[in-house]
Amino acid sequence: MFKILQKTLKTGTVTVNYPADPAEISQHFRGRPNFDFEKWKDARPAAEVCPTGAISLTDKGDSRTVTVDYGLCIFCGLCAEASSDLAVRITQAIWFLPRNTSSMPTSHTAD
Amino acid sequence: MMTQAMSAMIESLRQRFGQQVQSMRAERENETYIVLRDADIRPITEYLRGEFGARLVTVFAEDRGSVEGVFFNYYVFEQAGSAQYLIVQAPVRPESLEFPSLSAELPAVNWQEREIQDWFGLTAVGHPNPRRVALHDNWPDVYPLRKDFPLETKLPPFEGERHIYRPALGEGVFQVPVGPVHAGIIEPGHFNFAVAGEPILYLQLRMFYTHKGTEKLFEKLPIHKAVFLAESISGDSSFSHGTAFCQAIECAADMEVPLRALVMRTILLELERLCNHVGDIGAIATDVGFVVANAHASRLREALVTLNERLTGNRLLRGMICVGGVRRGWDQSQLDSLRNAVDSFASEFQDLMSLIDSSESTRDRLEQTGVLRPDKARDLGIVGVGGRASGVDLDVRRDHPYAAYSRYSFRVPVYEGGDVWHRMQVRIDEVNESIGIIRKATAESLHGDFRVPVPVIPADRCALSAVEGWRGEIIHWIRTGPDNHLQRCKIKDPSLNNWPALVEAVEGNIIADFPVINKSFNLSYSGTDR
Repeated sequence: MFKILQKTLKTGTVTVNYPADPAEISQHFRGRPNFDFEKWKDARPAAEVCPTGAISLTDKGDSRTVTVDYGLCIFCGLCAEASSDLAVRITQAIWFLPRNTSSMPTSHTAD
Repeated sequence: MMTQAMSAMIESLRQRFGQQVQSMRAERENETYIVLRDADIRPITEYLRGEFGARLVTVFAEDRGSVEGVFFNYYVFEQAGSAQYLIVQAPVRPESLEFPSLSAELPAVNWQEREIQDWFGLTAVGHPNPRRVALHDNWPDVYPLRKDFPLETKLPPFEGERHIYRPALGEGVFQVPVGPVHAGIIEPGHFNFAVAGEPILYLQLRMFYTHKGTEKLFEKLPIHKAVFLAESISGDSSFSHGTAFCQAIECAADMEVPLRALVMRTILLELERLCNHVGDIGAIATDVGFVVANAHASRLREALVTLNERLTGNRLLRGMICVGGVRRGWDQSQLDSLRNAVDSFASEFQDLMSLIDSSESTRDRLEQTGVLRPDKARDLGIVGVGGRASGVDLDVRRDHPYAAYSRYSFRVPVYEGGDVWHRMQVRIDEVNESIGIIRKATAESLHGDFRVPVPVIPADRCALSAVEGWRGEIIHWIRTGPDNHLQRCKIKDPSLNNWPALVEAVEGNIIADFPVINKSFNLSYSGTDR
């Protein structure tokens, strides 16, 4: 019993006061990738390399629609590796849960 | 290098069974294939086991119908003291689709032969319990791993199944069904107990509720995407399964992984072992009421997963392994974090052990509970932590060194007691050994590449890879196909070997001890079911 109390006192409080205090997330953490659709010159390498097909392209005539479905994203970061410009950036964002997966996809069409 | 003993065994085999041997090839240094003319594997297995003490590691099938006109079964053998694997490839009888069962003499392959039956539609003749195991009773008669079964097949809706369990009869005997939906956040599996009062008379367990067709999906994905599938086979062993998969690809492509990457892989594999072992020690304590110990163990585990996030970007080490090495290098501040975290963990772990040791009531609950006798462990082919606590002296890191393990010396703890206490003790010893390995690995100054580019992977190459996951022996066997795809990927998670041990271990124990006994094995549902 004494050992338990001694250890408890020595350990103190380890929990952090989140959300009042910020979450302690490493800068190395792979959170949500952000896509700068305007800046993104070529989405094809990212779409090819994405393991789950979260990034998909549809071409219609002169315009291309890129759809990103965060519901399929596994936060592997390959899309950022495949895109030569900084259009795809891995952030440390963690809280962005939608109500249901059907409200996940983001589409952008460009010429 | 092939040891004298292993090459003597192979030579002996060729001489004695020469008529049956169609061909032999050394695929690579540690992997020799012997192809038989017929399905008659039993005399060969008896000979290898009897004369040479060889162990049958795993058995699996492959549909080579369109290429070679038959299905093949692969029997992987190893021998203590040799890093070599001998793979005996036997054709399944083409007219009847039958092969002789080994399960009556070798209970260790009971489920593995039934898996072949269920997924390939072949018949293990003489199997003592040929009922379905890998597909549930309500599945139609389909054979998903046959090449003519498309991955995209939409099966008609199933009816709910009513699996018949063996009745346990007697005065005052009743059945307690537990699961597949469980009280905690764990995956589905069913445990059907026959009890008389508190003591358990008989346990029947049923897995494969989370069968997802993983091995079939491996045949569809390009290899660089399949790495992520490998990581998801068993979520708490993502780095181990990912490494096993990448090693197999690297063997097939004759790739040399740079030393820095091998050392980093070793560190990460040991970090995965540490996280899970300390978590399990806490969980075992909590299952017998010592929740304070679990609180500390959870705190220790949290410190490790925070370190994991710092080193790989993910708390469970996902997205770090890749074919050719690892995906990122570590800067000085990450290396400092690693050293500090391990030092702090080592000291806190000592305190945790001292806390657990001080509780006699905990020791009383764990000792003599859930005893798995060494002879049963051996016959059932139990591996890993559960095996080592019952005298089964196997550890892939020592027996078939991979990554950078051959550079570091470490002990493999083996006990004969076979109870929950000893399964916990194996984990405690392994934590201490892992700390030692990580320290030795981080002391090496790591320069150079952490990753090399992947060449075009040649088609039709076979490769076997083994990793000692924290649960036990993981095996991946692949056959590459054209265009960076795979024709076959066989996965053996250690849980596939070990589930049957639970039946033996719970006998005679009170039902209230089932959670701690189950936890002391801590087997993967997802890894088994694939």
